[in-house]
Amino acid sequence: MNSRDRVLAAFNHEETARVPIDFSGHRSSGIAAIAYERLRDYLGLERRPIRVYDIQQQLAIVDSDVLDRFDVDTIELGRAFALDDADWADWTLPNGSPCQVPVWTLPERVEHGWVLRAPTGRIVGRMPDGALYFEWAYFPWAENEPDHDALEEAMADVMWNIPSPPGPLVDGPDGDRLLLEGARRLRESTDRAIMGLYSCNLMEWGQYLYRNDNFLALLVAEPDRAHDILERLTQFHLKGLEKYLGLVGQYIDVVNFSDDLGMQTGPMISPRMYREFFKPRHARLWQRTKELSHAKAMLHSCGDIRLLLPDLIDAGVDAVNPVQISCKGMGAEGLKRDFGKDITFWGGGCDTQWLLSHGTPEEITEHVKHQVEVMRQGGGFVFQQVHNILADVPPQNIVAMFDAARSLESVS
Amino acid sequence: MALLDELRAAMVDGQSKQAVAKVNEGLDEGIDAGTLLREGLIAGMAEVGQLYEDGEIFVPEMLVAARAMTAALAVLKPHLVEQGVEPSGKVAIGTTQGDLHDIGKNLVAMMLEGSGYEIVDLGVDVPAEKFIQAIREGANVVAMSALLTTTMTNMQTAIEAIKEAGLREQVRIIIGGAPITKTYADEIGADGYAEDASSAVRLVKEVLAA
Repeated sequence: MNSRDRVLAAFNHEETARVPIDFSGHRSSGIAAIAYERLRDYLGLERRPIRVYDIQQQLAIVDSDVLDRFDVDTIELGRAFALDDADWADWTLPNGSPCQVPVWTLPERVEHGWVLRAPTGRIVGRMPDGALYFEWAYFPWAENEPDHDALEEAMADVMWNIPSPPGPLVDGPDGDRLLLEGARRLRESTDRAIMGLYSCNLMEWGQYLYRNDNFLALLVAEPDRAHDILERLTQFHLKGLEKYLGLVGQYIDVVNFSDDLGMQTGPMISPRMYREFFKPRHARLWQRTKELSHAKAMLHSCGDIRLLLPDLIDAGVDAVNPVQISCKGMGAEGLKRDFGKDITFWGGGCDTQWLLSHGTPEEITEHVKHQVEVMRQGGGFVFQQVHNILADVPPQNIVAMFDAARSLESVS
Repeated sequence: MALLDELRAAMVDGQSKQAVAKVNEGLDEGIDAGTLLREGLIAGMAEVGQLYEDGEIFVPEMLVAARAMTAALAVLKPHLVEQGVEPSGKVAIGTTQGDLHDIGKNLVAMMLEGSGYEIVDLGVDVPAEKFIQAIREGANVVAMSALLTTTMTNMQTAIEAIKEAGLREQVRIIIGGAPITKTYADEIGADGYAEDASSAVRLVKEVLAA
């Protein structure tokens, strides 16, 4: 059984001898560059320039020697691109280590920190000295009168619109061919399950454009306007998704959708509000994915989304991520008991909100073994630590985590 | 009193215009500003907090209620100052140094303001010195939040700095944010932890009474 089969078996709710492992298959299962540099040194692997493919979160490209070391079963489609040195520019991590970033994401130095500019020239992200990531600096429709007719212009001025590879490398007249060829090359060169990031965020785009508080208020105070913008976003995403799947759908195994709907204590919005504003639109996106490809639909949604799971399942999602087990309603036992047959849990393998950074390797080993034993029952589980490995995580903890996950053989 | 009931209802429903209209109406009728604050706005926000804790409403509904309260309070404020109505406490609030996430912090600030506290919003990425300065300027509660494990440890740094400045005895310190727990609050010597905006209001009341 190869890596791809192992991941697909999870979606088919079949138990495999060892659980499939995701590491860096998408932008919420990765590792901060600072932690990655230390990990390579700890593993005794050769030093090489760390490439930061996600500038906002400063996530490193995980090299194939590390993927092999941890028996990782996934890879992101983006790894097929930006292979040329000319695609990368030198930068320095907040801890002083040299690194490289995609040329189109190179931050600009300002007094007391760094900024990111949109292609329009506007400053859209900011990282003050002492911080380890970029945060929004501009919300187009918080500072200007919202104009839904100018949606795409507004989207250009959002920090999260600065893409990870391939990004602008597949823009232009030759872009479609390059995207397709890159995907084909990757497919031919790996047995790992290939993840296509096509997030189609709805709630999050509302928040990026209006600012979080304004958009949440809009859902209550001006439901017609909220429906209008969400419908326009859905149309925009559907158009892009159809084109994307038309090109690479045959080469990818999973489409990573994303919309953070949860908080530490429960969903941000009521199930009623989810059903009114989001569910029918998510359903259309996931339905279309299945019509146009064999790829599975995975939704990344942080926090406690337990109350929304029946509706998410009903809307047709195949897997949810990152299964934030430290949240109130997200205990592994309860989730597996109540929803295990209906959905794949992609994540929840190791707590990152406390244990992975603060625990001992022994505590992590014990915790991971417990999580895996609970979550793997009846298949429907892909191992992933809950969200990215941050800069403060010691390398021995990372090794303990993956070694525990990969060494557990199924007893059934 | 019917008007106070209507004012509370306007806030619970997040009707800013209606809340402002009811405050103006109350003032015109000669209702004391302090009464409008306590029995209208603060009581209304307490009801909102309870509905949230009971799972009857979620963040968007709480947010519009808090906005209605802010609008009503703006009208009421000059009258409160005129009458010498003192706030229940002065809370200096901010995200900890290195942390740029302020959605939760902003909601806590709004709920506290609606519950009768004066808010000094220090924003994001707040160094210990700024909290110290706010305490020197009269804040009797410091509220800090962090989203990430990489930034939560700066809460301890701030508490240590407040101690070194000799100000720890005159201030209550509360913390919150996704990775924070009661255990962590105890460990770093904070006076309390709240898991959401509604319980933060209760917590401030408790620590000030202690």
